Parts: sequence; C-alpha cells; structure tokens
Amino acid sequence: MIAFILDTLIWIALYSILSLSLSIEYGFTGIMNFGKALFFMIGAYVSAIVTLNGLNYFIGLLFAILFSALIGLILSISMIRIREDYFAIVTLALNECFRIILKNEYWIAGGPIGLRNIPSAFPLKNLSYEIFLLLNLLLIIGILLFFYLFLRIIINSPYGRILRAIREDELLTQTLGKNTFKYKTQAFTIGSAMAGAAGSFLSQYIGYVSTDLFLSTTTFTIWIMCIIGGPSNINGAIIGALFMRGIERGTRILKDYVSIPIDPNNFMFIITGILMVIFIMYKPEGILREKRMRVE
Amino acid sequence: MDLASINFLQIFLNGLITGSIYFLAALGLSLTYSLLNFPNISHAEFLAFGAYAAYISLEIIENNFFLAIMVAFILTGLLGILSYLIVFKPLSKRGVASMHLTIASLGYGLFLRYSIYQIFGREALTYKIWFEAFNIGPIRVTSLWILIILTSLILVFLLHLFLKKTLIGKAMRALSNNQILAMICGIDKEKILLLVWFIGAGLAGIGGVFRAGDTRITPILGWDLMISIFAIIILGGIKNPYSIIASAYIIGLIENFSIILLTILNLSTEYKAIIAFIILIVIILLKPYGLFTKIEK
Repeated sequence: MIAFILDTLIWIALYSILSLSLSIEYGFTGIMNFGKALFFMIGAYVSAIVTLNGLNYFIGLLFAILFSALIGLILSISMIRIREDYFAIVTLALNECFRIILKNEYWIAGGPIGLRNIPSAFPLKNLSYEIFLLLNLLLIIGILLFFYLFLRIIINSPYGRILRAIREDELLTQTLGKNTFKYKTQAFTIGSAMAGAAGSFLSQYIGYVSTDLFLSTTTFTIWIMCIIGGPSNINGAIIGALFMRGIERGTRILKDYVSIPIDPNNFMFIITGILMVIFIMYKPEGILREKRMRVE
Repeated sequence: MDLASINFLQIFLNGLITGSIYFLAALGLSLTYSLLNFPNISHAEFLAFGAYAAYISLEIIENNFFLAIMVAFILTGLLGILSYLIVFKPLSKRGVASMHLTIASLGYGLFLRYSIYQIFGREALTYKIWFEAFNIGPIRVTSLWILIILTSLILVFLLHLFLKKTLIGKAMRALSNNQILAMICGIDKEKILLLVWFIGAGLAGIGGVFRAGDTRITPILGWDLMISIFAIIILGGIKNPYSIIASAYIIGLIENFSIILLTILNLSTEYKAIIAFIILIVIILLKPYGLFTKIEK
C-alpha cells in the first residue's frame, strides 16, 4: 500500500515536470508544441545510453538535459518562425519520425526492443522496495522543485513579461523592439530541457526504454494536464498532473473492486479526449487562472 | 540491388494506388482547413471509422463490397457532420483562436480512436472478401487495386463537375477563396460547411476502406498516414482542391519510388514516412503557400 502511494506520487511529480515544461511553451509564450513526447524520449534514451556505459546517473541526467535542450534549440531556430499551425504539424510529425528512426536503427539503441537493465540512480545493495521508491521520490521532487522555482523566477521577471507579450501579440512585441525570435527559441529550449530531465528520470526508474513509451498519445496526455490545470499558471500544471493521474489510478483501483465493462486504458484516453474538448470549450484558462505578476 | 531487376511499372502502379488513397484522405482535411482555418487532427480517425463501418457492412451482407463502400461513405460523412455540429461549430461560435480548435480536434480524435479500440479491440481485422490477383504483362494487380484507381478517377471527375458546374460547388470555392466577400454575396456559410464536412469525412471514409482492404483494419490506420497527409496538404497549398489531388499523387509516387532508394541504402521501408516529412519541411521552409500557388504581389 505504501509502495502504491509512493509510486503514484512519483508519477505525479514526473508528469508535473512535463506539464510545467509545456506551460512555459504554450501557456506563457504561446508556442504550439505537439512533439513533447519527442524530448521526453530523447532525454530517456540519452540518459539510458550514458548510464549503460557505466557512468553515474547524475552525469546521465546532465547529458539528457543538455542533449534535449540542444535538439530543442536546433528545431526552434530552424522552425519557430513558421506559422503556428504549421509548427504544430511539424512537431507532431517529427515525433513520429524520431520514433521510426529509433525503432529501425538497432545500432543506436536496440531498435524495437529498446534498452533494458538500465542502472538505477541508487545502486545500493539490500535496498527494500519502499526505501528505493522513497529515494526516487526525493530525487524527482528535487528535480521538480528546481524547475518550479526556476520558472517562478522567470515568469515574474521582466523576461516573463516579454514572453506573455509575445503570446498576446507577437507583432506588437516586435514593434516594441523586442527580438521575439530569440525569446521564443529560449522558451522552447527551456521546455525541451525540462522534458529531457523527466525522460532521464523515467529511464532509470522503470529500468528500460522502448519507443512504445513515447507515442504521440503521451504528448496528448501532457497537453490535457496542462490545459486542465491552467496553462498559464505554474501551480496549475501540477494540479493538472495530479488530476489526470488521479483519474488513471482511480480507474485502476476501481477495476479491482467493481467489474467495469470498459478497458481502463481505453477509458482513460476516452475521458482525456472528452475533457480536452470540454475544457477548451468552457474553461480554456483551466482550473487555476493566470496570476498577476508579483512585482517586488 | 540490381537496378535492372526493378519493376518500375509495378512501382508506378503502387504509387498511383497510394496516391488515390491519399487523395481521398487529404481532400476533406484541406477543405475544412481552408474554411475553418485549423488543421483538424481528428480527421485521421475518420479513415479508421470508415474502414470499420465497411467491416460491419460486410459482416451483415457478405460479398457486397460496393455496398460496404457506400455505407462507409455515408456513415463517415454523417460522423463528419456530427463532429462539426457537436465540437467545432460551438467552438468557432465562441470565437476561439485556431490554436484552440487544433487542440480540441486533438482531444476529439483521441476520443474517437479509443472508442474504436474499445468497441473492436486491439487485434487487426481483415475484410471477409477475396480480391482476385492476376498479371497484366509484367505487373501484378488485384481487383481491389483496379477498383481503387477507377473509383478515385470517377470521384475526381465528379468532384470537378461539382466544383465547376453546380451552384453549391461554386459557392464552396468562393467561400474558401474569400469568406467575407462570399458571405456578403449571400452565400449561406453554414449550409456549405455541413456539406463540406459530409463530403470531406465521407471521402476519408472511402479512403479508409481502401487502405484497410490493401493492408489490415486497425484503429491507427488513419493515424499512420498522418505525416503523408499533412505533407500533401501543405504541398498543395491547402486551398485549392485540384492542387491537393495533384500533390496526393506526387507524394504517393515519391514514397513508392523512394523504396528503391531505401533498399539500395539498406534501410527499412518504414522510412518512407520520413521522406514525406522531409518534403513537408522543405515545402514549409521554401514555399510555405504550396507548390502550385502563385503569390500576388
């Protein structure tokens, strides 16, 4: 039971990071990134490859962050100027392309089988399962807290004000003499780095990576968390992750007690889809509204 | 691989078949994209829906493939209208940004796909009908392939007549060209939009049946084609149905001929999706208004 609660908390924190990373891109800057799972995947694979080569996990984490930030930077420099609907299509397609490459090239990372036996961040002997989970929970909460505080500083600074201005009216921001291209690439790079960190944690926690973990449905799950909680509110991103994971775990527990005629995985996605439409229709700002800037 | 051993005619035929399926799949998306100004991501699920509708029809009335195609066309068309009335019309009435419409279509697509998973299960199904295979000269064809090519030729012709000769078709072109001007001229946008959703989704349904007949029926059958479909839409410049048809066949042929290149390079043929993606990127960067659109200066 304790193990179950700890595991749930770990997943909530993991998805909170992803949801936060979308919040800085979509909620504050207005970038449509439909390829979130791509950066999640890059982080997981890079970290897995580094740790499988015998290096410490934290070096793997660093590499994962740097590498996904680099890919995010390259992608945004080359693509962020195009129309926003085209950008959404490109990121969506790019996710599938990277997945196809990783699936077919055995020499990179094992092809469709993926990588297995990834060493944990805590390679201690005689560790009870609960302690292992607790250590992982502390690690992921540490990462989450770091990014949370980082974003909190960013969005309450003049820098954050410019990001919001870009979201509201990019042309106007340009006429005020701001280089919107630079700000957008930076926001996208930060978001990518965060997703990479989340991926890195995932690979060491579950001990394997394969391309099936990073379907575009993963991206959609992150989107719904971000939208439900409130895209322009960093607390909202966490609330959204809590909410969606709660539904997911709830249906799983419910299945053990009552026989529901619907497969929990399908049910989860059907609910996700319906909620996404309903929230966009009636409450596009999410549960938590955008806060005023705290000016100190 | 020896170049002389490649049957170019066969690959050309395969390209035509892929192109026909792409044209059916892409046309509806381009119509709604140009009229409502957002990429409807749930359009891919219309293909899967059509494929399953035909499957049910073939289960009830066996060996009648034409009926199955008609059933798929009508049911998917109705689904298109329903989707518009329930999801997209209320949203555009609220005046939300095209960004929000895209996100809503994503959620709606998720809902459709997993509802199909729930009803039909994860296993791939096949149609209980036998398509004869025979040789014409050096190429091998099946009756399904002939049907696909003939049907899409007829549909292209009918579409041409519809767009150029009928009043509704003209109104449709006017609307996608300049919405405000068309509405000032007294064109009823709502009626046209209902028709557009019906035809667009219906054609996607037929495309889904053909794709499923050629491969297998799975809930992600439409999603697998998504990269290629978007490449076609952007290559064709979204607004013009004729250039969409042309670019569907261009992409279909390029993908099939790229298989030669991929086998020479010893790469998996799954990479043809990446070829479509590269075309997409190049077009977006070099000619963002499509290959055939002239920009007035």
